[in-house]
Amino acid sequence: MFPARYFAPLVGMVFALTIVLTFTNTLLTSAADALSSSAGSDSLTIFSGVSTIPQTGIIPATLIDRIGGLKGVESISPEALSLVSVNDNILFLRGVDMQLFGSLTNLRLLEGVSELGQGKALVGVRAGRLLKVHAGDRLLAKSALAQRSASFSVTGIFETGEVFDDEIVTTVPSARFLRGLADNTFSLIRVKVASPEARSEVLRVLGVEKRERVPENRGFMFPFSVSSYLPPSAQSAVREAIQASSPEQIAENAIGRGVAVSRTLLCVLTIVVMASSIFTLYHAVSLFHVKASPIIATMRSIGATQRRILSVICLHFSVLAVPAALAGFSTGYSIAIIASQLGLWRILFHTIIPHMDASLFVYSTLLPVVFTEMLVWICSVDRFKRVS
Amino acid sequence: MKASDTGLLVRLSIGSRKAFTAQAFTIASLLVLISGSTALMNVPRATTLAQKAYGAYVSLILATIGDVLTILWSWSLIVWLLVFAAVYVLTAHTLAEFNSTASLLQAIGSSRSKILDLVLVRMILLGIVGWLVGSSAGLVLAQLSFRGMAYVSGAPYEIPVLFLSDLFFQLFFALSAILLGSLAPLFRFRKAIGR
Repeated sequence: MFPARYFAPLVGMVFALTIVLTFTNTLLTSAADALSSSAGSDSLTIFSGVSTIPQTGIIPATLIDRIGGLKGVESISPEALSLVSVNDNILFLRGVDMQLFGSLTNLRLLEGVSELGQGKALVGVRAGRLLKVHAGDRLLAKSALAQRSASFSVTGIFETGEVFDDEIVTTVPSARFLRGLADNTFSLIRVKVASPEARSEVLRVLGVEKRERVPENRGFMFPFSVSSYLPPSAQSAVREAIQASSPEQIAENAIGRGVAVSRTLLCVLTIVVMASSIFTLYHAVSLFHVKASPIIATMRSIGATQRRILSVICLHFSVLAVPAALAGFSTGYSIAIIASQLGLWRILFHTIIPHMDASLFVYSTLLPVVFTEMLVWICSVDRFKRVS
Repeated sequence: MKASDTGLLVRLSIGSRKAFTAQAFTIASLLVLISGSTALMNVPRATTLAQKAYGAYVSLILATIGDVLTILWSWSLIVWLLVFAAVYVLTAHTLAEFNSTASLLQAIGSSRSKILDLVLVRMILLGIVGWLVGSSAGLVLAQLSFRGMAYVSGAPYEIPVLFLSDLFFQLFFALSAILLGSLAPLFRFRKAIGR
């Protein structure tokens, strides 16, 4: 009844809104996902009770004995992490026992051999791309927080599909040296458990199942606490406190404490984007009425009620807006993937990999359509009132 | 061109003040997002410069903040899409309502280029007014929201600021978005008044 071109500005706005919302929501959820898996996507990560994120803490090696013999514990990987600077790029260097690490990680070798030893390192595929290194190359890793450095020969490039792809993997002693850790300490312990009961048992043995984290007042928060990188001697006695968290809890802690400002900002901006678009949408509806007024007048003259005309307008708009929203979602998601691949999306020195889920899709596409539909209805009613 | 001619050109370009204000406000409401996010992006940069005490850790902090800033920057670039779409809608709306005025002007002897000049002047004025209001309101909004967040989280209050380069960048992009967004409706309008 109405030519499709009359709806072009409205549909264009739905398209643009969907792109912005998809981009924003993908960023928000994927950042949370990147943080939740920042220690690896296994079932339990044991780390210091006073560190903001798993990587920054220090825990005693004695914990391995406490949980190692428990029923349902399938494998344990104690790891030492250090932030290092390689060619002015800061990234994590993870010290592991290759056999234990492999039992918890689905590691696929892309180049070279899977061999670790003194002065040897494996490089994750994204880290390799960032540093432009290949198997056989040498790299000099300078500790980002201590006057220490170590040279490594790259034995291979690996891919895991997890956060380790952004890291350098070497032996535990090398990582301890760069971080300044004592021999009987680690940064975190990753544990693979067979069942939820085994998980509860581990938590019970560690005595952390009911511990609540009290948010600290740290002023303007950076994504992690720099103070937790201080040498062990300078850290407080409460360092002995430990906690064990699932990836989701880690994300909650890290987001809740470390990047609260960023997350709140993005949530607020999502609402503000919708609110800011109201005025443009109002103009788009007005423009539609300017163009469609002869048709609407004709419809009125042959006896169509206002409600009937409104229903026709909204139905017609929906038919055009849904494909526009789908196209907007695809475009927004593609831009997000490109931004991630260009290295624009990084948090805690790990790449944020955009991931899609049903709620993200429904929220990003349905919200602009419903929101615009409501505005079309309200503005049209207002317009009819003024005309009559 | 005399001053009175310029005044007449501007008055004719603006047309209905109410409509012009509404349209400038629409542009401003979107520029608020970009201006506000830029001001917030400047907070950690300013804070870091003040916190020289971190010494050896500064490069690490900068690298961490840099990641967050890059994310915010990529987000603010995407918001320009909305500005672009808004300009398209506004230009199309303006031209649809300007049709009768254009016909009248043509009838009394105005050339097609003069009429197009009027539309272009209007769009540039919209961009400048939208930029002035949007960047100021964005800065105020950023300060209010940051103050609110600081109050809730008990953090010390830092002042979100806009550097002169940010203002020029926003003006340049606002005018570019306005010119690009109005190209298609202007082209159609040019054809329509040429008949």
